[in-house]
Amino acid sequence: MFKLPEEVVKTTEKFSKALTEFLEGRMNADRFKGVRVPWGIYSQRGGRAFMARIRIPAGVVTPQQLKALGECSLNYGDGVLHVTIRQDIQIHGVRIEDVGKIISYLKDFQLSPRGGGGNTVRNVTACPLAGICPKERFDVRGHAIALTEFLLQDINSYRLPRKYKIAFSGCERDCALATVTDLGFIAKRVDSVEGFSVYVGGGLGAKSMVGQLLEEFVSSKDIAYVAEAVKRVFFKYGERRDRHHARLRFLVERLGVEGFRNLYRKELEGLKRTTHIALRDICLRYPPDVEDDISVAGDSQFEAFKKYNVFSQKQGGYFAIGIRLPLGDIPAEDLIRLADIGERFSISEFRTSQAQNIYLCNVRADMVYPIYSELKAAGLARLYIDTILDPIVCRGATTCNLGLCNSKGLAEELVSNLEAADIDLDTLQGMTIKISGCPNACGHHPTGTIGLHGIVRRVGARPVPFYKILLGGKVMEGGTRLAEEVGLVPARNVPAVLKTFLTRLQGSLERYEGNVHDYLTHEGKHIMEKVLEEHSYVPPYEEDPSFYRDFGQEEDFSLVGRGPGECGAGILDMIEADLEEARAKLSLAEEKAHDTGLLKEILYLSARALLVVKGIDPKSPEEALEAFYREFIESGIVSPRFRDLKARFTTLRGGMGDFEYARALYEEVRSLYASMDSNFQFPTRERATEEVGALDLRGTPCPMNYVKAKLFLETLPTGSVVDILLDGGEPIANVPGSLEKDGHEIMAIEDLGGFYMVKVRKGMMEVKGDQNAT
Amino acid sequence: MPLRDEQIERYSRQIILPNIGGKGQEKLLEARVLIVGAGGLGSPVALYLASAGVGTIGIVDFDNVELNNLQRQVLHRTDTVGMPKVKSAQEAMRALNPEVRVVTYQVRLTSENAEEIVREYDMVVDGSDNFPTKYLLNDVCYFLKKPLSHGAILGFDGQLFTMIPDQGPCYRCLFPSPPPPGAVPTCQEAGVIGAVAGVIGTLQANEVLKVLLGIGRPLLGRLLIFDGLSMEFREVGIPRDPNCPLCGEYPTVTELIDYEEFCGLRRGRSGPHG
Repeated sequence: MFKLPEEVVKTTEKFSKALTEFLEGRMNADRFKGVRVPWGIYSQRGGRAFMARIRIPAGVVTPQQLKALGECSLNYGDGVLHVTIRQDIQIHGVRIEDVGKIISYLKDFQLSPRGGGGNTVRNVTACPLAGICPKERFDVRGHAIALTEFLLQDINSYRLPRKYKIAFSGCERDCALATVTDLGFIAKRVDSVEGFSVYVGGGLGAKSMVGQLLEEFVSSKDIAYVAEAVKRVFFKYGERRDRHHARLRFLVERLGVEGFRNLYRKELEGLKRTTHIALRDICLRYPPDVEDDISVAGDSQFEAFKKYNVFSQKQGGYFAIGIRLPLGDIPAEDLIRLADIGERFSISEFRTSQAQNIYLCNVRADMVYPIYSELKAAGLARLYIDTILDPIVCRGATTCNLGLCNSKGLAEELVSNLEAADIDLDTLQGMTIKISGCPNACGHHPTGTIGLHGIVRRVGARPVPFYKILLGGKVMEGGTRLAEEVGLVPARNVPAVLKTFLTRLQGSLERYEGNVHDYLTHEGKHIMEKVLEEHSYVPPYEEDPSFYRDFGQEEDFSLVGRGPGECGAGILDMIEADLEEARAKLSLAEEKAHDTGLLKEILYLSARALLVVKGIDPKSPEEALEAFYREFIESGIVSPRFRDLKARFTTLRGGMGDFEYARALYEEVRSLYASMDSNFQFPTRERATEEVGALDLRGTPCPMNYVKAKLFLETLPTGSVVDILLDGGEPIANVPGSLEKDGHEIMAIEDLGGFYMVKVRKGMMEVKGDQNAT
Repeated sequence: MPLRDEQIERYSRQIILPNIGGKGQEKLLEARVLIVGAGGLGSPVALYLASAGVGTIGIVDFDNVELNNLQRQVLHRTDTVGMPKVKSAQEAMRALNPEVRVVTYQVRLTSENAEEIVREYDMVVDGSDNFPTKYLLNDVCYFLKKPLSHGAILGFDGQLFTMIPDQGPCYRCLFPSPPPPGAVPTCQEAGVIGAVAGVIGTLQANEVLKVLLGIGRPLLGRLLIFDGLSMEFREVGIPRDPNCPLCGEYPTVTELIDYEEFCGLRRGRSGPHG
């Protein structure tokens, strides 16, 4: 089984020290964030509570470990744990001072959150039923576990350009999603040698990509060389500045798979020449085949459980039992109870699955019924694991800093709707529903046979939660396809849409011979289009305000308080919608002799477009113009020639001059949007910032220190925050002023005795002088 | 490539400027400029471009340094008299800034070799002293779409403008045909003040830097005229000529021609560079 590498055990002490320094006020929050995130400790929405993401290599976990995790959640967390789509287990609602206790407690159980977050080697995943699945080519658990142990020893594994995810699948069905992961291994046998085909550059997110074949075949003993060489290429050539294009898939895209392979081969060659890597042989146990079958008759509930939740293993007479966790959540008491049941029946191995469920493994036939009875008594025998009644859902706007729609609320509503409907799970076998609250794909929506992700649309002057519907996602070696967009529907109508769609689909599928996937991308798509059409109408607010409210929310939907953060993807949608409308009205105005009403709308739309990034949601043109004036004109982001915007709006007469004015405003807003930083949206005081690091300019005289500071800032995205160390005297007297004159913001100057630390936020550089004016 | 410490120090005073910065400096280091004529105009251009860190500077001149050149051609020194001008220029630029790559062409620029040489550069500076070369440079730069800084001096007077192909007028829009032979005296005949060469050449260098960096307003469609005696600068707007034989609507000059003949000169009459 997995053993924590020495490096992780050793650095645990370092983490505790940093935590103490932070708690005693000797380390600031930003700096501590740089320590805790690579330790898998994230802040939750609101910023008070924390979450610890514990890595579970290959999803293999013992009852003792589950108990320990449950204890931690009870003692230090909010009492509910969460299984992630990458097989980790998260403890939520933890106070920061207790984080150290969790880490040191779990260490004795060979568990750690190290590398659970940040730009690190993340949990190495495997098929949830590896080693027991009758279809697999061979067991890949050991590979995933041993590779984890190897990679976690290297300090560079914690300072990559971005996260590095690795997955192992036991056969071409690719249950571990290796073809949509940064680095994916798929088991294969060539001339009876065990090995893998290797895929690189896959990933799901705002820009999803399917991995490309890097190696046709590598033998099992070479996997560490492969993973390490890819890691080194990523380390050396990966994008570190633009977080939105930093994942390995963007490097592969940039270089092309051939170009990437060349760099990788070179790295691999050097590695093999200089380093000998032997992975630890992981001791895996299998039960001996027995001749036995589950034979309890007359219990119809158990029959259903057997049908949907019990799976035959490749070891004769043994079974895996699936525990469906709604939304991937399980109360700590339940988890401890589950572990207890396991221990009492001598079950030594559990698994976490990519579908956010838990499996008990190696259950002997005669134990299935007794265990089922216990599970049922504990309320854990929920039917229909991995069916459309078991959707995969991200945490959404309830806890995520970036979430747009409350995907969790939607899923609950959806499941209760589908349960009540007359839906035949057998006909729809193999279908999955995957839901993300925003386009970032934490709910894996691009791989769902039905995928949904939240976006925002405006109706009248109000934002309305919507979902995009995608169909036909499929994961399979050589056949992975991302789901295709079919259309949009207001969030409130999603349950009705899916209910109607599935009912109709089922009717026509019954007569269809081929596979569901083919059907979905053709006939299924037309059915969905029809259903969407019937459900796309959003009545005015006065008629039915429920459309303007998200699931489980008391108040009207709003983007206020939803920081632009690093992924304001839904926000971008809104901006683009406004700009598109303004553009359309512009060409209309040109045709219609500069109609006053149209020009007013253009001014309104242009002014409103960017206000969402400031969390402002104007209800009228006056409000929009006022806010635009305050946020963009007064602050110097937009040219002062639009100072008279409000007056102009009321006195518009519709001449050529007014038309040109409206066009100029639209153009300016549009180019401002185009120049918006992909990390930081706009440089404002409220905006999230990213600490880039420190620049030590002590000993550098004036004006070289200023020149160096300027050059350093040039390389960073707008909004980045840098600590600059400066000598006293002339340097501290001059440099901050000069940087301020360049448009950067001096956030703080701290006297550190003998020298100073200046905290600078990079401003928008305004370059004077127009190019080649004629 | 990030700037090295020594580069940061050397160019610090221009890196500080808001519209140059490190990115602008990197642009200059990657830029390639051709100077035609290592004489009175070419000297300040060569020195200022080298000092600003323009990465590659080509220099074309056929002549050797003569003692009478030193009064205005500040690239050369008493001890380089007799040496090819391009060699003397290369030494001076290297001494000033060893990191600049100086490419020398000890040839007369002709219709036969102009394209091959000009093609390698991002921008060209006209520091020549004769009409055939001025028309040749104008045409070749127009054909190859290279910006050209035109400059000329005589006595206490000087003038310059910048040609960016298809964005503003060319030399032919301004002077459709050369003056009759002998109508305009050469520097050799009429004399010239070294400081005037310095003024105009320095302004040309400034134009080049602006165009390379893509900043400011170059002298596009504007002829700047300097009178060193009354100490006046005048700007004359020059429109694009729709009937220009080169860049007009119906061009008649579509390839390089015999410029000696065009200027009514016999071959080989062009004097030493101004």
